[in-house]
Amino acid sequence: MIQTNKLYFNYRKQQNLFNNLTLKQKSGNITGLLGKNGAGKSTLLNLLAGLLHPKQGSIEVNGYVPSKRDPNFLSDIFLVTDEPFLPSLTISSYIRVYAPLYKNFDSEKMSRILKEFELFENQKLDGISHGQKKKFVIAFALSTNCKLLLLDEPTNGLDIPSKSVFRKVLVNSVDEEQLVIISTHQVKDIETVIDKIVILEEGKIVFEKDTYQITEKFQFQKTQSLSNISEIIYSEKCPGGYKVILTAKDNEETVINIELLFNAIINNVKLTF
Amino acid sequence: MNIQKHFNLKRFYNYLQYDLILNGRTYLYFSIGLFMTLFFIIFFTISTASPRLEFVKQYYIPIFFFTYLIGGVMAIGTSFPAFRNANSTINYLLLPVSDLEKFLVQFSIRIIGFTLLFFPLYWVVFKLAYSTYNLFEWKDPIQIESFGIFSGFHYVVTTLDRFVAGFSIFSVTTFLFAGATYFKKYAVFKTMLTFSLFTIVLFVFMVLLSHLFLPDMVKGFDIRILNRKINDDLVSFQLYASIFGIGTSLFLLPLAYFKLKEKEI
Repeated sequence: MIQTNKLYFNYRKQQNLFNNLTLKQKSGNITGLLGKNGAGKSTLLNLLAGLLHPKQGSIEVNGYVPSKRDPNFLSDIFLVTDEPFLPSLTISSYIRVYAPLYKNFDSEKMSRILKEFELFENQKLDGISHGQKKKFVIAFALSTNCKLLLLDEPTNGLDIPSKSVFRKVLVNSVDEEQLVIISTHQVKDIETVIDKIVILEEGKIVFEKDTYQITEKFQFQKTQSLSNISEIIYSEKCPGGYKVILTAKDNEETVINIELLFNAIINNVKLTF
Repeated sequence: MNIQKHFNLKRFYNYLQYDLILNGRTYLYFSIGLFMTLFFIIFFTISTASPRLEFVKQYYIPIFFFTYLIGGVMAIGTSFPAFRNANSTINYLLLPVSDLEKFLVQFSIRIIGFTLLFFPLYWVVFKLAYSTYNLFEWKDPIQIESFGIFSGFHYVVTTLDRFVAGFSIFSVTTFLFAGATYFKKYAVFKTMLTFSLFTIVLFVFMVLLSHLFLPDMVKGFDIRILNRKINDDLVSFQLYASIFGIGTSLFLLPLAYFKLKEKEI
């Protein structure tokens, strides 16, 4: 569904952000795209959406070259940015104007998600808070039933209950035909929804695994002391003890601590699969 | 070639509707502003016009072209308003319509729509300003014979003159249109600045040519054009102006389209 091949990209008068980046993603996944500030997460999303053109290499999304911005390609992708543009319209007017441009738009789904997010059709988009705007755009994006959803920091600005609604709505809305890529620093917000983790570092993919592969091989625990534990792969001090990554044993699965995993990878800890 | 990829009537209609709903208020306010500005300009002109001069020829037509250009700068120079802001640029570029449809909607509204609106609006405003003037200045009313929307332009005598005038204006509008796709912020200002620079370069070029080929006939910044008769209806300057006008438009419109097509954030 997404295939980037030997991708090179740099902004004007800057060093290469991507050097020979190759990435392949299939539909039916919710992928977490992680990386430090400036690693190129948003740039990668913009390249996939066709908002930027690669300097070298190729990108193919759903069989289209994104930079050509074919209308059929555009009607099957949706990018939710951190600061979405919303015109001075009511929610119902926005839907009336934008929905006909998306061939698979589902009005019932939209109403359902709006209800879940406690948004009302008569609300004016320029009169609601940043978090509400974000929820509205997420609701609209999910209702377009696009094959590719690119979410850039989707939980920024969302209150605690909304984050939980977001996870519920996302999991319930996405089907096997769709691919969702979530770029975020708020890893706790997406821990339970993603089924694949991709980590970008210095213009390259340094980690790409399904979550089941990670939980099969590793355990994520919190302990008071490191002295009694063997086979520690990575540890970090935290209030009340240590967070550790251990080799999995006894088929006992734990919830992935993405933050810990991310830090381990960034610190060049070798994780053997 | 798949034509549907570039133009689909239903998609075009949906997008046109989208643009009119999104920017309808801006278009309305612009029309009201234009109406009021024209009224004040024409009313002032009628108030100060010399009764010895023929009003339509000496005032109506020159002010028409002057106000059309000023209005054009505001209407056409601000085409593609989404490009003035990064977030709205993303929204605009990701709209699922083709670049050709985006181009055509802007072209239809900003150039064709504005021109079609301007002709009757200018005439109506003139009639209104004239009636208002005569309403108050009953002691000394100015006499301007009645004329239709287009009949005032009969002073532009030959078809070729009309052709030249039309294409000259069209080339200016396409310059403004191309500038709006090229520049992000302060597009109108930057387009006008570029236009001024081009005009200065053209002027200097003409001065140089005049000095090069006709050194005895020019002094300082003089320009000398030898106007040769090509046939009974055509002189060389008309031909040059037509080619320049057509050529500029033919160059600038595709430039605007390809600039839109290659637009990045």
